[in-house]
Amino acid sequence: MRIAKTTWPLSLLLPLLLLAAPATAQEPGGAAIEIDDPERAERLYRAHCGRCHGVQGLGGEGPELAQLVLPRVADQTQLEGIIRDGIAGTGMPGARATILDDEAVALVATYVLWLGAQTTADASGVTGDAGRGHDLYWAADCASCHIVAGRGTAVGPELTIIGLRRGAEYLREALRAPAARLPVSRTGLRSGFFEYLPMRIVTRDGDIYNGMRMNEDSFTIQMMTLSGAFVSLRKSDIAEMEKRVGHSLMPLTQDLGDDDVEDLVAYLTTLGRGS
Amino acid sequence: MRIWSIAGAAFLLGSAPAATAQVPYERLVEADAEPESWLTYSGNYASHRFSQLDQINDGNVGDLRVVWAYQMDDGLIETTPIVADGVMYVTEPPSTVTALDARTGRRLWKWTPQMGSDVLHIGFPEVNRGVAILDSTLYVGTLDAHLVALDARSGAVRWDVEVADNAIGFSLTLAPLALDGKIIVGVSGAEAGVRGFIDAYDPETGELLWRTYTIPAPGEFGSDTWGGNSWETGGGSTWLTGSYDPELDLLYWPIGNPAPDWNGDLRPGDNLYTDCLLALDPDTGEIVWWFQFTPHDTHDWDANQIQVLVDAEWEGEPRKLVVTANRNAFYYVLDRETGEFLHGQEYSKQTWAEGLDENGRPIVIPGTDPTEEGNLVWPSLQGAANWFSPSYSPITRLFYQPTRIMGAIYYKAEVEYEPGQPYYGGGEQALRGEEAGGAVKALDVLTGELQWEFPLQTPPWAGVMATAGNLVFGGSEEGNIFALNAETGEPLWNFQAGGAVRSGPMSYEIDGQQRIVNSAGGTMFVFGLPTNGGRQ
Ligand code: HEC
Ligand code: HEC
Repeated sequence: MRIAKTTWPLSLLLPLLLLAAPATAQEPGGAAIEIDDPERAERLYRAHCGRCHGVQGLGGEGPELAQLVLPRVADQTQLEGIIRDGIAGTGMPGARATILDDEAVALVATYVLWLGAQTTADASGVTGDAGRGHDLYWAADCASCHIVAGRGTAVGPELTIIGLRRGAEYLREALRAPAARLPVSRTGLRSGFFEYLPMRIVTRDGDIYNGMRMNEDSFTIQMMTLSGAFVSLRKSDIAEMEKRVGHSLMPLTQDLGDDDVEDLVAYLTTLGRGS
Repeated sequence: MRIWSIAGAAFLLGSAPAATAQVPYERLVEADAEPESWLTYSGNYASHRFSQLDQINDGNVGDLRVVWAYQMDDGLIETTPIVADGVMYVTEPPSTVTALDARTGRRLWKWTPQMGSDVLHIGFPEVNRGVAILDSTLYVGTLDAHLVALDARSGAVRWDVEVADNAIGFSLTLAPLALDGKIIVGVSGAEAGVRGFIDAYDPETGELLWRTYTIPAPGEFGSDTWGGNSWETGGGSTWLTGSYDPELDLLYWPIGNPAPDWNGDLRPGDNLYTDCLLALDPDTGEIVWWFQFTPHDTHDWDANQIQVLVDAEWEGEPRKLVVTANRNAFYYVLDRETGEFLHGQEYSKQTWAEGLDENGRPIVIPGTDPTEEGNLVWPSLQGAANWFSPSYSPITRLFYQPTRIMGAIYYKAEVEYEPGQPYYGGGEQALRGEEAGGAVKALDVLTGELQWEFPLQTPPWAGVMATAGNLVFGGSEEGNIFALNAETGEPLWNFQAGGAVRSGPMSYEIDGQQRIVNSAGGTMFVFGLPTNGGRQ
């Protein structure tokens, strides 16, 4: 990957308007990603990857590629390896199948990284005091539901590298209006399903369970109750099942002032990036 | 204990093949008379994927358990095994053929073709859907577009012919169809801009008997449905096994999408015979009639679904019908002697057509083509139906269809044809998770009216099989292998197999015990009732 101080070369802007892209895309280090031949990169991506990963990289048959951190990808070399060889035993084919030469593989890899880079929020949108946010986080109840660097309880999502996965605007919304957007799974078959979906289940025996869905198929459902207990139920034993879309188990942070929220956002943004 | 004498002795003694033909054509025609076997991909020439066996039924299916399992080579399993005379012949990814003892699952032999690591498969994964058997020979299509004849007893190659050039995108993933003195195959490759065809080969020699192109050349009927030279790269692949009516002596073959998939500007016209059903004379390959489901398709809605042949009373007259639940979300009833359109209706959510006119042509809603900015349309490019098999029960007279209920944002892009390169002209972004779903739907076979549906968490990729035990077996992406009451859809049995189900179930009988077969993840499972479950 080439790191450039400049933002997008002009030639890149035109085709990417299609994707409603911001004019700049930062990678974690803060530098822009430059693509040698952006039109060709986009064409190759659409022809070889878009069918499964979505034209905008938002996932399809394959996972979302427009995320800053791809679980299997540490660097461009590894990404090129995946594109060239595929992932054995999965639906991810090697580029052999679709004949990309090394140069084309590198071009597509850069494009994939660009897709990821443009999903991060602009770090400059962060105005709070990360140090104060840190203290607030650990003083408030957050750790009773979240794990950061191994500490805390996993009721909600792990936040250890939340700064790499989410932008500031997203984090602000997560604190102010957590129900507005539940995290959506990007892995395997559960891809596209809400995670932490609050549910209320009444069994035929009259037992009532409130909690979050962990998994579901046509016959069974797995959930975690509010107290963290695991419950496995057969749908044939269930009398009522309510999926509470539009709700969140994350408590509203109404008692926090705007400054507190900005400080928390500043702290969360540092997680995974180093500060 | 019973000695499995016939096949066993042949293995031991290596007896002369000519004297011990296993599955002559007559057995294929009369497949319904021997429900203990499973002799063709879809169970019979009419492609009912229905088992007459009823030992496992709506009263005892809850006791079903694994009798044996077989672990396959890495890859997606989309195969349906064949069982004849105590031996199961199954394909493993990408193009391997394996013979197993149908009683114990122990392997008898395994054949893997030598293919380069640079085999092309553009627009589909490295899969194989099964073999055909005729006399004592198995026929398998390979990913590198060969058709290979194997001795059924040993896996030794009898002949190997190149059907087409893999370097420009041709592959064979389908189970061939064995007829009287002919092996019929079709090809994949529309996503690479091939010109599709159907071939017939001599079972003894591998000699090509006829080839019928699915895209007419200039001067041929239908050539005016292709602008410019677009016919040369028009697609129309033939990648799923057809059906056969021995009395009418007509072969029914479904045809795939036009190329490029999503940019229709490059191929103005109706694009015959893409997205058609063809009825062919199996002796000459001549097209006797055709019916087009999706003229000038811009959504990749191949008609490569299993074509089910049904004899029924239609408006007071006995009539020979062919029915299909098409990828475009409409269910069709045609007269299979003439190709006349009798009836059609929507069976799954769609937003691209107001309906079908009196000739069965869709009344397309303007503005539903892919665009550069993206256009949300139901169904998604994978369609409401796809290659995975439906089933027809002559007892309930219901047509069982695993259905994908999913929309997609379709994009159009510029594309230039280059040999052996993807030729898509766009892409899609499918709706997923909570926004998509699936179901096994039971349709009245004559009207397509929904009788019941069993919901699936995500859009399925697995076929179904109905049985005389009043059951419908199916599978889910979540790893459920299940049985439903064929009349009501009530779930009666579920086995969590721990991997996505991507193949079609089948059934056979051995030692007087019925078996149900389906695969999930990398493993094929064989189920039976506990009376015989622990002992083989
Ligand atoms: C036939 C569908 C298909 C095509 C085409 C395809 N992929 Fe994939 N890809 C997948 C699937 C499915 C997975 C997930 C594999 C798994 O984990 O089971 C995947 C996984 C990946 C991953 C790993 C993500 C991670 O870190 O977990 C990367 C990177 C990737 N694909 C990039 C690409 C690129 C770039 C292209 C185009 C050159 C491409 N893929 C083409 C289906 C596809
Ligand atoms: C009672 C448990 C609970 C407590 C306490 C809690 N959270 Fe959450 N949190 C959740 C759950 C559940 C989710 C996921 C559902 C959602 O996003 O609404 C979540 C989501 C989040 C997310 C979004 C994560 C993502 O990837 O989408 C952030 C950020 C977050 N919490 C931060 C905090 C902070 C900061 C605090 C302390 C002020 C806190 N949470 C307190 C349960 C909790």
